[in-house]
Amino acid sequence: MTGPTRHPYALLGLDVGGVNSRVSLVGISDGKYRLLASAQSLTSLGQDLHIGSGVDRAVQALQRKTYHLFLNEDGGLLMPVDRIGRGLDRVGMTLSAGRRIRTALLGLSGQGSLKAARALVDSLPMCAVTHLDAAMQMDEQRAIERLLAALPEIVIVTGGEDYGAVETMRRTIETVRTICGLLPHAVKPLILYAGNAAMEATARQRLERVARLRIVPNLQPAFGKYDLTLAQSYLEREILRSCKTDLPGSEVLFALTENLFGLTGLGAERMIRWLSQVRADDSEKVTSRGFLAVDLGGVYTTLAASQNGISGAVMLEKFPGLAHVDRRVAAQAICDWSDTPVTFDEADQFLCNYVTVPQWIPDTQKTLSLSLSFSRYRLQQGLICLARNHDWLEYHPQRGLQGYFEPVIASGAVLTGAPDPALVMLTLLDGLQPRQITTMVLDRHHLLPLLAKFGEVEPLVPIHLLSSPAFENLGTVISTAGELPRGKTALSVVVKTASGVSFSQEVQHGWLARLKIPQGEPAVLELTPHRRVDIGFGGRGRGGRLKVVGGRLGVVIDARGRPVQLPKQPELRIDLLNHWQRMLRADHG
Amino acid sequence: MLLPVARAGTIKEIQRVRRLKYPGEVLVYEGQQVLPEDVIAQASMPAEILMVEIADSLGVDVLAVKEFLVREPGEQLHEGDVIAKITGPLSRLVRVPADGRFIGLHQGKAAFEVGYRTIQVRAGMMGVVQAVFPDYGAMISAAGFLLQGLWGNGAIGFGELRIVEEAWTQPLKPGMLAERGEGLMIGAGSCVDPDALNWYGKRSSGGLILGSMAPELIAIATAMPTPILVVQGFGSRQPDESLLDGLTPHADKSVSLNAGEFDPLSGMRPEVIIHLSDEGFESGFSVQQKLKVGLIVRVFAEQSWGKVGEVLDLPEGDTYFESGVTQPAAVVMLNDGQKITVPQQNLIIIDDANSG
Repeated sequence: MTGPTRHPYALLGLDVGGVNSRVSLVGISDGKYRLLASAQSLTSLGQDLHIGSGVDRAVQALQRKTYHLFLNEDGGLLMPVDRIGRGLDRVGMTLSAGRRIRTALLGLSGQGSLKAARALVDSLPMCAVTHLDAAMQMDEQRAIERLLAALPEIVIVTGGEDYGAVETMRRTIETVRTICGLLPHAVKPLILYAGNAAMEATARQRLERVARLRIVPNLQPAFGKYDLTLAQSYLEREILRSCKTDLPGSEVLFALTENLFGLTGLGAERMIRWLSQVRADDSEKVTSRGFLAVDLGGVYTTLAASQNGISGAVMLEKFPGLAHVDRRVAAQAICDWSDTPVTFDEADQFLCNYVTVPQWIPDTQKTLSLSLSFSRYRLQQGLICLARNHDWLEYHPQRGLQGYFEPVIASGAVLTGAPDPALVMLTLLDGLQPRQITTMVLDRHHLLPLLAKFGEVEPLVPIHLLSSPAFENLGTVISTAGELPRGKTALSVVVKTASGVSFSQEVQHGWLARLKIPQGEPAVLELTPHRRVDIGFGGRGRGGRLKVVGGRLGVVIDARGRPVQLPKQPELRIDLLNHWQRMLRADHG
Repeated sequence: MLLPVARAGTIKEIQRVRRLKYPGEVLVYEGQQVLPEDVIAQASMPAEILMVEIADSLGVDVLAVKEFLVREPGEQLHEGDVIAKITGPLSRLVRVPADGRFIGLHQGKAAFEVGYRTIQVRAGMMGVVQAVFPDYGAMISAAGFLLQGLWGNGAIGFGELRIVEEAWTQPLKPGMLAERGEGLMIGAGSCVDPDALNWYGKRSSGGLILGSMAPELIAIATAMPTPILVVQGFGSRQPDESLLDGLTPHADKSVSLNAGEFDPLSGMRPEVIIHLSDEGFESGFSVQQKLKVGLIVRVFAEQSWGKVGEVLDLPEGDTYFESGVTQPAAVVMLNDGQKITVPQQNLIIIDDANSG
């Protein structure tokens, strides 16, 4: 060990979720940043509670797990690192606990500016309480009444590609001005103007005196092209500001981090975007490569994806409203994916009860099956929403996730706490239904969003940690797509491992298979697909060589096709689901 | 491990803050006795707007309208009042078509506020106003048996407690309780029948306290104005006797039911307060508490969902469960005599379940 240098020596990460608070200690080991230990506790929320109480319990538990001393005798943090290496250099924090901010969207069209505004709002803990397009705004009286009824905390005004739709934007600005004139001071919304740049001066002139106004770049400067980053950053600050009121104790935690805090979902998106930019800039120029992060959290389902340096994210509420029709859709999905016999009523009952006890964990095989089936539904809903907001992401439940997303980084207690990596892999494959080639990575300690914060202090931290065991490689997945009769060979594989072992395997259409390549061992795969099968090598029937490193499950071939077809008869479906599990589960590589 | 607490016991000082999100008018005073449906504070928000065309009516440019106004923004105007006019040989004027407050000009039109909506915060319990928060609300205090549940339909009510004992051995059915009429708070083990829910929900303005309820009744319950509280969870499960035991001593007593949604931010749960003047109250209140041997807990395990029992042991380290997860566990003796081991996270602490 070396003493403290200009590089930070020890960093503490706090991740405060709606259900769990996690803490992670990152330090230097063998010349690289590594996760030294982590711990978690239930988040403390409620009357007379301090949001830091849950964090404090987790920090105490963390100290007991590690030799690196970072707490003083009173239980306070030792900062900075002293000359014998005790203490911490920085504390970083991500937060997803708290309420959603009520937001109104004003734009020109549902497929244009409002879609961009929706993409912005969905990427943050916000809920769109009303939206008005240009046609709706023509009836000014009705438009104003809708806004009054919604009582938004934030109004996002967007629309008009740069220097377009001037008159319509003028009308929108006047509508917002009237609203601000009507509402008492205490409930005046914050106005975020993110529309036609040519109207910024008008917006400033008409709105600045009647409300708190912030002008950010146009969300959609050209049709289909989004620019959400600055608006996201500004709204993130606003949301965190409201947390100071809503979550007692959050201000103390924020102060501890010396401005190294942010929203969890946005942290994940930043990391995914950064990875995509690094890849787009590097010499390989694999520009079509995408990155995907999924987090099945206690309160939100968060998905962040990036491709060619652009990114998008969604934060959906975990549960559909109990009185909402979506609950029945979710219950049916649970029945469809459950590997144990479950009636619709049982699935519905499970869902309703799960809502009332969000910290609940599955303790029987049946409840684990219900929980992971619900996770598949959550992943699918997340992708549907992400694809609806971002045209570059091609996903349809009947076709699966198009494109090359490598890797998929997954987190969330339901996945990281699952007892079997095969179950996690299968949940991810069924929920996302990726095509081509990807690698499933499990972020066991929920570090990805925190890396965005640590990266601000030391860029080496995300680089080192992403390639460390903290991010567990479950396995590279090769998915086949193409119409073949069940039982026909979809893919032939010849495997040559670095240790000299070689074997071949044929995978039939409709099945899953594992190539038992030891964890961490490099291997070269010679892939020969059936002439009607696409594995992502440039079209049907095209194969080639692929370098891989064995994951926890070696390498997985998903030859079930897209979409994954399940028999209608429950007994057959359950048999098949169990068969797939057995194929992945036997003798973990 | 610190776990959420849902109370089921007698409490000396149940304090609840009822506060508007926005400033308004507080309608109670310190020391005042309040009933659950009493309004503690209210705020008015503009809701209806009237746009009166000025520029077109006067035949002037939108930007010139201001010059022809004869009333100022902020003024309260009455139907027929003149708001703008052009004088001269071709004089024209614009009158207000309804009473309202003139807010200002909007694209050559005069905007009027003509209707309000009132946002209210109600007491949700019988009690005494302990403190007033000017412009926002008050803190209400009461003593009694506090029973917190898992789900509420959002309504508030008050009534005399009637327990349908038959509905602890079979699901609630219409006609199980001979009494009808308003002001009854009905306690029953389970409800799976929409007709039963409608029967008791419509015939009692007080409310329904249910051990469990079928999930398919949620939509009906949510639409009902009668408050409905679910204590154990959803499904057609065997009701927990501890709920019956807890409620029975309080039959015929006055009960407040605030069936608000569970709010994780505040820790507040839907709850029943049975008003008592007896001695032997506990003091203090917490929304999270450290799990200890001897505490009474509600268990959320597949076969024993919502049942109550006593913590017998907290084994050291993690315990392996059938699902394959390893978690800190608790050994709980359920009230029906069954001993089970569950993850600690699948418990809610409920102090003093059988007292009162």
